[in-house]
Amino acid sequence: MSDFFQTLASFPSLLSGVQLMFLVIGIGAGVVIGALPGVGPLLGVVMAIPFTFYMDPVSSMALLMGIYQGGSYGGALSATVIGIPGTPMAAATLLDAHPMALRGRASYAVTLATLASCIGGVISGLVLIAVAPALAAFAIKFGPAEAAAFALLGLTTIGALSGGSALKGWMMGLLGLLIAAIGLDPVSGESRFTFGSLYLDSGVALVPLLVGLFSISEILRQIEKPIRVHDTSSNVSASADAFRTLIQRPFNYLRSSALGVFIGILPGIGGVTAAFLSYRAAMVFKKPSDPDFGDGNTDGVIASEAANSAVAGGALIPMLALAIPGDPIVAVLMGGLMVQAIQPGPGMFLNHPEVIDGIFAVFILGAILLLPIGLLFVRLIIRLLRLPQWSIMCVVLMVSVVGTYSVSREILDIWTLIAFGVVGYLLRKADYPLAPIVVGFVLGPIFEKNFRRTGLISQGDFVGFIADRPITLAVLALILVFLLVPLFRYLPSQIDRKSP
Amino acid sequence: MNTIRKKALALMLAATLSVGAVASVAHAEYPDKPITLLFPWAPGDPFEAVMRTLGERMGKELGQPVVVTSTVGAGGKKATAAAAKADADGYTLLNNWVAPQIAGKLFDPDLPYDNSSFAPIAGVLAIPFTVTVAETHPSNTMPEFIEWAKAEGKTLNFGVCAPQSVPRLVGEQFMRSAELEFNPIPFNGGCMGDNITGLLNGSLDVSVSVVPATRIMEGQVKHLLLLADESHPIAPDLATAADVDINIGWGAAALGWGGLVAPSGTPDDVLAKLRQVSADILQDEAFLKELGPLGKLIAYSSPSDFEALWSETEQLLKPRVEELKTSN
Repeated sequence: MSDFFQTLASFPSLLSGVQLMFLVIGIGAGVVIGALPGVGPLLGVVMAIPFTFYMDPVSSMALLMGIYQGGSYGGALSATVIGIPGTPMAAATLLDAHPMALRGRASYAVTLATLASCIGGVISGLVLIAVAPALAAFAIKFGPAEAAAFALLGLTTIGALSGGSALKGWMMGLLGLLIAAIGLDPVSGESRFTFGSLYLDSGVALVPLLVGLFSISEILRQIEKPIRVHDTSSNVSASADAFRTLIQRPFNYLRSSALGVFIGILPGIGGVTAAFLSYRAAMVFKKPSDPDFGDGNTDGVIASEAANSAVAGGALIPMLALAIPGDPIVAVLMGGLMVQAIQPGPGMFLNHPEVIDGIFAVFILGAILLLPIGLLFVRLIIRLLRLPQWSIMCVVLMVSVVGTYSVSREILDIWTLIAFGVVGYLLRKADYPLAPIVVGFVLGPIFEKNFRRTGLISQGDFVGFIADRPITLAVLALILVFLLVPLFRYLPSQIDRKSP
Repeated sequence: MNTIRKKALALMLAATLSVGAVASVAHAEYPDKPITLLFPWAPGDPFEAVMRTLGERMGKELGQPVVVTSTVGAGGKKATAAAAKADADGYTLLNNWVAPQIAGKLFDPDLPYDNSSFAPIAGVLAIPFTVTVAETHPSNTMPEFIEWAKAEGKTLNFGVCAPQSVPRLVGEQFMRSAELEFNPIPFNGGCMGDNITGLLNGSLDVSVSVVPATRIMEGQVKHLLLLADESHPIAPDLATAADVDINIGWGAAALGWGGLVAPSGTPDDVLAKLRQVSADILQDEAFLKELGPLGKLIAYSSPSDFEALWSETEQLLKPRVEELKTSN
């Protein structure tokens, strides 16, 4: 632990002005990139990689991690203000932050999201510094059985995300699972539901699916029935109310950040799952005086944003300690290190301690800087609100299409985008929730491949295999609780109704 | 008569001039705009660094930039299909790989390309596959491992990279030759990620892998064997299949090879230029040095040798693919 404080104390001397500048540029660029629908932090990091070839390793990491942190947060801005998640991770934030904005509390919602992102980032950074090697060694014990169990746990959030009707939610969740089944079978490698199309072999891409469902459908809806989002308060700066939640709801910040870090460490689960799981956990601790979840609940915004930002620090742990990237963005960051001829992994702590310390310093500073930089954008975003809605929607449409195309340079992705835009529009009209589709689509493949691997490894003996794995058993028990609790609440009410 | 002669002379002159002009368009001006080099794997992949460095050097020689464009999808088949369809003018090149071009085609004969869709420029990379176990595994050599496996008497959980991949075909061939009982577990992330995690958390007993991917994880995994008949500069001390008297007899075709091709039908003079330039760079010591450890994976082969490798690989993989198809 003394190492931990030594590392913290040495931070000011670790970063040069240039490195700090790259960090600020990275965060600023990341926030903008994250806020634009379709263009997420992954694309931002990939686009920045060629610029890092000629930088020193810490500057390079400062730029890339700034984009990662800023981008993970930026999605919340567009989710709040225009009801379109800039990144998949912000899909859970949207559920409560957008209703807040519609009621004229955009300042509050955006400040809350910024604050939660900052806290989530700082906490995950502290965990990263304190326990990176130890936690990485623990996470490595997670096999396919544990990953499958966690994905299944994530899928149980579908019922909770469906707003009014759980039945509609599950229908959409299953639709997401079905869409995810398109592509190559993970075990046999055969094409499934692709109609011989090479394009569909890689499965439906997440970006056009998400941008189509949320962004294009929103534009279509607004053509039909324009809504005006405006902040009634004359004060367009950061909301002091949002800062008060730090004292009122510290437990939520801590719990959501911890959950985010934990999910981040586990390979291949990622920020979307973390946001939705944390959102689900917040529902368990709902304060009776708060508005319902999905209707502008403060804890919902904190839970989603703190968790998805905390994933970043978590995902860096196995990358640095074991050279196992926790998510696709971290995989690209790892590539960024290798470009600098630095090999991540256990050897990195011995061979390049200055880079490790630099990365730690950049990460913590980046999370802290997110607050002022993010709040600067609050003003910008709220000024944006004063523009006529049609002009915002025109820009959103353009950015959605260009952003989606730029990720893959695949023209068929634009058709996918349009198709899901129409589907999303029709589903909205029929009052079906869209978030469960994303959950099913993201978690389906994680569950499927790990479940089938478990089957192969155990040679079909699931029960005997799982019996030896306490973590899997614990997660499965939790799933049972999540599924049974609503039933126990529901049944007595039905009996009461029948008795008179 | 005079006028006729004048006209004839003028015509001849015009004809000569225009032929000259056409010839100069084809000769002197290639390349007169940037060249796109399609790369089939994700940006940030280690081999992207190789292609980028090669592209930079080629750009300098050719006087026009060679832009490496990552076209990800369908296990490299998307980029391969795109290149087969591209204009054969020398402005679209492909970093071709054995997986989409040969193995992918064998698994799915309907793919819109075959070997004849491409004209070879140079063989660039040859990546040997290895048999890898966790560092904590009791055995340190392949004979020890075989002894251990037979003493345990269990079916080994064997990580085989992607379900329809060259390392899987090579790896399974080896396990069969070594008379080991195994249960193949595909990992669709390829050879460099989940399967290594699988070794570390005990889900897998043994896996196929590649040296550059696992080099980073030194101290956590160990290679028992190079799945090739001859040793390779990337791991000169590692025992080969031939060393333990298991002859898989696959030579260079058992390696994960990649190279540079143009769509077939590309003009001969353009091909000649590209072949010359790439051959010079790939055999230049300074270039290999610039690539660092990845430089050891560079294995230049001439266009004719490279093309011969395509059909050789096809011949070797075909029966194994058929076997796998019927067993599924």
